[in-house]
Amino acid sequence: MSDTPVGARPRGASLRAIFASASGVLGALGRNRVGWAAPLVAVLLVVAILVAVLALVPAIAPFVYPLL
Amino acid sequence: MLLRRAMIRLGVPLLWRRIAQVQAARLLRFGITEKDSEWQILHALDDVDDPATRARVLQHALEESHHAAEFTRVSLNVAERLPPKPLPPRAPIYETGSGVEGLAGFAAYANVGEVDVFEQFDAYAAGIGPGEARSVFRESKLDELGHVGLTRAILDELVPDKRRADWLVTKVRLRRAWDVWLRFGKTLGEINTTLVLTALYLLAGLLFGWPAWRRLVGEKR
Amino acid sequence: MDILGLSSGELGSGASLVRDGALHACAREERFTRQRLDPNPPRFAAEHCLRQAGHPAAGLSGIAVAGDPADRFTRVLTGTLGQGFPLMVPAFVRSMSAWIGHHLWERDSLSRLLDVDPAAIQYRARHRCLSAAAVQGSGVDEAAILVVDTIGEWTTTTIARWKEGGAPEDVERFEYPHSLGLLSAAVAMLLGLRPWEGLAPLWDLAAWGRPTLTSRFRRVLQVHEDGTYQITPGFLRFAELFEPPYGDPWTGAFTDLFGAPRDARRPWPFRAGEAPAVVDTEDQRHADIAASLQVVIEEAMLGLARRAKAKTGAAHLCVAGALAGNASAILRLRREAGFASVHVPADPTGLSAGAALLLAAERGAPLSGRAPQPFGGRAWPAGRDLAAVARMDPMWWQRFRRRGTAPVRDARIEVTPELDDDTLLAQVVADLAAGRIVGWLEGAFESGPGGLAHRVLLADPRDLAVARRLTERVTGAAAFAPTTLLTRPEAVAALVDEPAPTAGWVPLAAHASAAARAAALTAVHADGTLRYLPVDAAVAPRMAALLDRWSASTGAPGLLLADLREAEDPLAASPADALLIFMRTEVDTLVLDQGLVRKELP
Repeated sequence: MSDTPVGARPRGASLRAIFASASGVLGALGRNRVGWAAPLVAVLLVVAILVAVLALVPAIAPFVYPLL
Repeated sequence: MLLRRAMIRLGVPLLWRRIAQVQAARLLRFGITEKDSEWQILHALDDVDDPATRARVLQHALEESHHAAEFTRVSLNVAERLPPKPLPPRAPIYETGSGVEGLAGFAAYANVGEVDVFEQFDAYAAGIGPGEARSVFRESKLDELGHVGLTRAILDELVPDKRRADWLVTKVRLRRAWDVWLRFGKTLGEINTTLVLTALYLLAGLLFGWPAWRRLVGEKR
Repeated sequence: MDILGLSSGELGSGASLVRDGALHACAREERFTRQRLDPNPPRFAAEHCLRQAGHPAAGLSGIAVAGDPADRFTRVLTGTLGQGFPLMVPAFVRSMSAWIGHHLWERDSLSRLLDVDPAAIQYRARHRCLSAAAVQGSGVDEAAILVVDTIGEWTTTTIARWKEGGAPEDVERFEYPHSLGLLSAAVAMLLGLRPWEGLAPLWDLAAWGRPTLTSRFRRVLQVHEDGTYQITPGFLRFAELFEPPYGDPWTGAFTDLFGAPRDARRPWPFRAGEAPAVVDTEDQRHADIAASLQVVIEEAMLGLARRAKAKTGAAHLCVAGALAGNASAILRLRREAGFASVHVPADPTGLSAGAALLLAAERGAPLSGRAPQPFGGRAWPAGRDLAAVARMDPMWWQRFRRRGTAPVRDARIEVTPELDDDTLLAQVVADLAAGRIVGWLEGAFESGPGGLAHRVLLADPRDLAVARRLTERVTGAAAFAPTTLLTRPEAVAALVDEPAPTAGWVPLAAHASAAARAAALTAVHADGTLRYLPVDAAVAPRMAALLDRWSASTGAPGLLLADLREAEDPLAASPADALLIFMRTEVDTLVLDQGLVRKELP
């Protein structure tokens, strides 16, 4: 029985978490027999990352607000 | 505020009276906003032990609860189809454990919010035609006027220095101005998002609609 | 070893804490946020669980989240592209906006919410979680499990087997779009109800209809002799239900069979406990749709249960998922599926509890069928609200009361802050016998979807007028829905005409005896079944004592039970929530732990 504490959120956790989520989606394509969707998923992930970057600019942030 | 009032007065006669589904959705959103006010009050009340204050604030929560129920009730009476019921995440204005300072900030926020809501209800009551909805707007706006006084009285009790209390109210007004900018951005952002995703869907549907359909019907069970 | 389980989604989000393999705390987010079936990340429920744990999230041994977002995303993408192109533009835009903006990055947002290392968050398939939750409270050490749900990631129905000590093992899975839960949600919408909240009313409505449209439903839902089933393509577009605001999940072929959607404003003519007067053709046709769906759903669930029996050879069956709340279908499984017992857990959609139990089992804390924690929610002190209400004047409540309720401006409010149980129970029994409606709040709130004994409304079951008052002027529940009879296990045998369970965590159904018909009018449904909930003195000792006193004093076999809530709100959580209900509605007496508040009208 493992009793090791999960630990607090480290610095730079967001980038690692986002990368883990994105690679998780790519892995799920094969597992769920929808490999044909890989190009579409790649486009959506690029859009998502673009949105995330735009959201960092205060003047633009409100315009990507619906996605945040 | 004047701009919003003008928009309501111009927009309501055009849309409100013609499209029942728009009316229903708008009324339900008012119900949800009033429910959020009730929730914010009860959430802050969790940190208040004084029975007299609790009694005053419970009465305030009762009034917001009633407004929420009334807006919800009339929203269900105007259109054949149920209006969409958004359930936004709760964002507490008062964070539990933030003490008197937190409660003072909450009272200032509530005070400004009540003024805004009064203005909106007043504009709607004047802009929409006769009917149940107008009665609800009219009755609710009077209560909101009472809440303006109540929240200011609580703020003054928590912050006896009048200049500091006024500064708290001003800070909230500035924050709400930023919220207006966000809402404006949201409207434009929604249009952009819809256009981009619609184009993507049409392209992706042509390319991948068939394999997607095969994947779904291929599942015999 | 403390493990936190989290869940979110259309059937409501929640959090649970499992300590050394047993449920220690469990709460739905809706209780804190006051939004029924709140689907948002369970911030407040998680805070409650961590408060119960006594340490921050970083000190947990594990965090399990029900539902892998990556798998769900592939289903949403396939569902929106593969059904009804190009008509699904709005569904695709809604879904992708939500996925790109939020859902895909759930690991990061949960890590921020809890302030934990994102790598520590582990995802488990929703149906595996529901399987683990299903066995809680079953009291058996080996069972077949049937999860019949709306939608997991891709899985909609699961057959599993379980042996005490281990985690459940999947035997067979049915995938999207073949979902009995989504079919029910679509029919609920067609009948003017909301898709998820409308499931329970839909099943209650079924008893008022005749199954005249079953052959049409069999074209939509094919149930095979081997116990498998299939949704026929071309009738439904479930992808419309992936993200709110929901679009119509049906095609023209479906409305050709069942007609246009019902006007949601139209009142239903059926009332529990009363024979319907004149019923309009359209109302009857809509009730017939519900009744016909119920027949085919029962056939499908019975087929699945028999298949589970054949595949596992188990003597007992545990059922979970959204359709486990369909009491008539569960009754049919109990009667016909061939199992020695059929168990439904206290929270059939308890994903967060299941996720935490599953991770605990994987880490060596054996999963057992021991009694669950039915009251895993938060408790508040009642004293400060009792002191507050003593200072309030009902004259000021009058304008803010629920529409149609009796005036209270001249009412006298009696507040007794502390009573011993003997005096309190005697007063409550006297009030109930006088036709008063009693609200009862005690300790921590229920973990599951409804009130069992800590957040309930009680009334005399023999009095039809008080039952109507309860529905119309307090809960706002559908008038056609039966109430539940809260009773003691030893009273059950006399109330039903067939072998029926004397223990349960959710309202049960069994054919009502003549005695039940005479004693509990509105708890006997239009289909002749009694809806009842036996109260175990070991689980809810005060409620059991109240029932014993009530029966000894009046000879009635139990009390009418309803959730302590008003209209579209979730179950009351805090004493302040209960007081608002007391002020707004015709609740006449309110018990707040050891305190008592009474309304005396002139």
